[in-house]
Amino acid sequence: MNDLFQAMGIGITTLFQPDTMLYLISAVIISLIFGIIPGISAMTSMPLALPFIFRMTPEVALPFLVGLCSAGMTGGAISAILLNVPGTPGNAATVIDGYPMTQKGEGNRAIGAAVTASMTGGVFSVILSIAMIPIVLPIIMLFNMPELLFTIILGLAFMAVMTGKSKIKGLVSGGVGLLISFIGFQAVTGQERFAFGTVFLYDGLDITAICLGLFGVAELMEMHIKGQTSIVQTKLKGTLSQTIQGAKDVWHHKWLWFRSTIIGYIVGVIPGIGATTSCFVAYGQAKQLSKNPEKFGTGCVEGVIAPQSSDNANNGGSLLTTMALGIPGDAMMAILLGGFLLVGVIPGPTMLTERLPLAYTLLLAIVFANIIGGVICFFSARYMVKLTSISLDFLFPLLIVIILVGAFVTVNNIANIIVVIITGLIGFIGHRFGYPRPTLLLGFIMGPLFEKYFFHSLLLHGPWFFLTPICGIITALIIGTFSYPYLRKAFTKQPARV
Amino acid sequence: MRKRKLFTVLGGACLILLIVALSLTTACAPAVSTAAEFFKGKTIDIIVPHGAGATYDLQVRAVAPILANHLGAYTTIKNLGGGGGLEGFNGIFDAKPDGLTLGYVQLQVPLLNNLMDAPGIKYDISKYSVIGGGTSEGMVFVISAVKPYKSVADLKAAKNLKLGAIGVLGNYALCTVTVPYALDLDAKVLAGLADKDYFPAMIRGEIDGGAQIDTGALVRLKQGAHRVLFAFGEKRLPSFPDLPAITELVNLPQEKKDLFSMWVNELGPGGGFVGPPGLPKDKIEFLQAAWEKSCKDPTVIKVFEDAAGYSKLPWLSKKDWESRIEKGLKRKAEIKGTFEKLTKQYFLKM
Repeated sequence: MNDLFQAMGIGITTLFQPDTMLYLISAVIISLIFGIIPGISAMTSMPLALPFIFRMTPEVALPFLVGLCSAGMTGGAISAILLNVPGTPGNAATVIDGYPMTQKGEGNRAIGAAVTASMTGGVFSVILSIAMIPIVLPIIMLFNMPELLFTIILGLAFMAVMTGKSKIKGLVSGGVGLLISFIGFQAVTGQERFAFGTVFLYDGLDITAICLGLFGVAELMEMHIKGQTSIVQTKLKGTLSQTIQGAKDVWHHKWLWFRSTIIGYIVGVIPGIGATTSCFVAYGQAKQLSKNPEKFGTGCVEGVIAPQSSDNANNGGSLLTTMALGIPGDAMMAILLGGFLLVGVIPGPTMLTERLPLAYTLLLAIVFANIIGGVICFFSARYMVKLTSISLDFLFPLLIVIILVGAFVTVNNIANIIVVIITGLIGFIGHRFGYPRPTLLLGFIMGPLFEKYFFHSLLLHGPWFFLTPICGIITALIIGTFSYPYLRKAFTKQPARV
Repeated sequence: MRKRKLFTVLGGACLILLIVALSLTTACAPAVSTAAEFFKGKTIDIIVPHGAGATYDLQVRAVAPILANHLGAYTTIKNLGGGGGLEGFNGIFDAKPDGLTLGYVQLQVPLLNNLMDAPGIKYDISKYSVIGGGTSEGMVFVISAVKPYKSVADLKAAKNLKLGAIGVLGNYALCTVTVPYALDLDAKVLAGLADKDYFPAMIRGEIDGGAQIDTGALVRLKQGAHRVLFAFGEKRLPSFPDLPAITELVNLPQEKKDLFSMWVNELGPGGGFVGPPGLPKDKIEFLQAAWEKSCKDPTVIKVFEDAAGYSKLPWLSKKDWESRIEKGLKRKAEIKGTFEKLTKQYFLKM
């Protein structure tokens, strides 16, 4: 125990060295800016940073990289809430209620809630990581392919929750998402599907392009056709008190925040699922367990708190797995892993024994990155909401350019711009006829994961692969979550009729 | 009205004069006489057919700034890893042969794509302009650390082994499928795993083992993910000097020995700095000299060694690269036929 505290002390001291702190703060600011600009995220900034870290010591280089990947989701929430364009794919769930809040004149409050939920979710995930250092490996060992499959089924199940007014239209939309997710090479058999011999489509469609098209381009088209002159018709009064109200909302919904953070953290620890999945699962459970589920989608602050806390909590979990096992949970962590190797640090069990002070430095770097990023966004929220009052004559071309450039930069291929435009058309037409966009996105994200883990489970474990305790627990969770509203209704005493 | 007409005429005249002046400047510009003069101040795009953060991406990001100094140019890295790197390989092949678009590739992957006639290929690896080699690597066979198998004899005695491989027709899958065939194992191969699924499955023991590139296997060994059982080929690897080669452990018939050796010789992994077909000789020589100087830089060597996990890395020369490609392509029909047969026999199928 003394060794643990000693290592933590060294970790804190290292983090507060002037050069480490300076690089961390710079990284947070860069990350926020990249996160706010749709399509350009840490996935763009991190590779650019790699050549700069060659000559740095690990104690300076790695917190810098961690800072780059920690604050982006917080920044991405701003564009999701104010412009209906998710800054990162993980912010797609925030759009569902964040943007309607802006349209209702509560943009400031939404940002306050999002930033507070992100910041506290990120910080709490680090506390969980520190507590879980001794047990992370046994937890990862429990989740084989069948368990991962059932986790994906849990995510898919929440499609039913997000269908909106028409369940059939919601499921059709989800089916379209599943269908377009099949484009490319099938992971297990190598069979080409719907790629028509085009190398660009071999890896499937890019999720960033889908998000930018479905939400960004579609919404801009909607505004243009309606003849809107700005995003909100009345000038939003940005006041600090409204932002503080958003922060208070997180405290009022502290159990929701807690559940969503745990969901994000667990998904982060288990490699192979991804932050975007956890955001939608968090959103789904928030709606399902809410006393007012009908308000979701119309500008409900719970619909902002849940995905944002989950998104940032994911970071703490996936960093622990990356450090402890050298297994990156997503593409961003894969680049971070490259950074580890570049500065001569081998991630693995030795990180949590011989290099424990460095491990603490990195975990604490997430804490400070989240706090610094959160504070910057919190106090600048009232200025940022003024974006919504800018005339669309100026904002429209600027946003279109940013969206299209973001789509190009993600995969370095101009064909991605065509994907954005086509998806934008699909999103616009679908929205017009009542087909919800979030279910399409959920189907797109979950489809390949479901197929991959299903095949792998069947091939490795045979037809009875699902007979495991954890699969049973997840099944019970799905049944429990979906029967909860009915059970609550049945057991709530009806007022006596007079 | 008159004033407006006058200004319009004057403006038009200025514009015409400007166009003529620019054309004359271009026409009279002195011809670039040397490769060094050509590259001075220009920007060179280096295409990497891998995602950002992959080993080859890290290597080229280390070399690029130093290469830029030696060339007197600027360098940018473009990650075109789509389609398993096909986007990048095709992109390098289709680029204008002026030296401003080059590529850093892992030899094994584009060669295998060519040999197996993978869909979507537009390039011919024998036509790339080879500028220089990167580090040479070997292939090893690993067993999950939680599995009890410690020798080839244990593997032969085991029933229903499940080996794993990243990708379907790439180097990992085809190398892995060599093992059950050559050693007569009761084993099947689950191909098509992604990186982020393969290593956790290895750690959990969900797959029993698989073939890996030696540098990656060394890093994972230090993480405690697996044990390394043998090296492919007939010689020991510099990365694992104490690890026996398969031919030291088992007496194999010549045909099967050749199959293992192929993964060291014709299909041995290693980096290469290449350009599109038709790159002029003087530019190749200039780039080659700059590449060789850059790869001797202590910073670059340190980065390569840190990424690999050991020091004194073997390097491929331009000649080694060209020789491997030539030998591999000569045996195309045989290699393709063999692996089509093995994948049919050993891949796990629905």
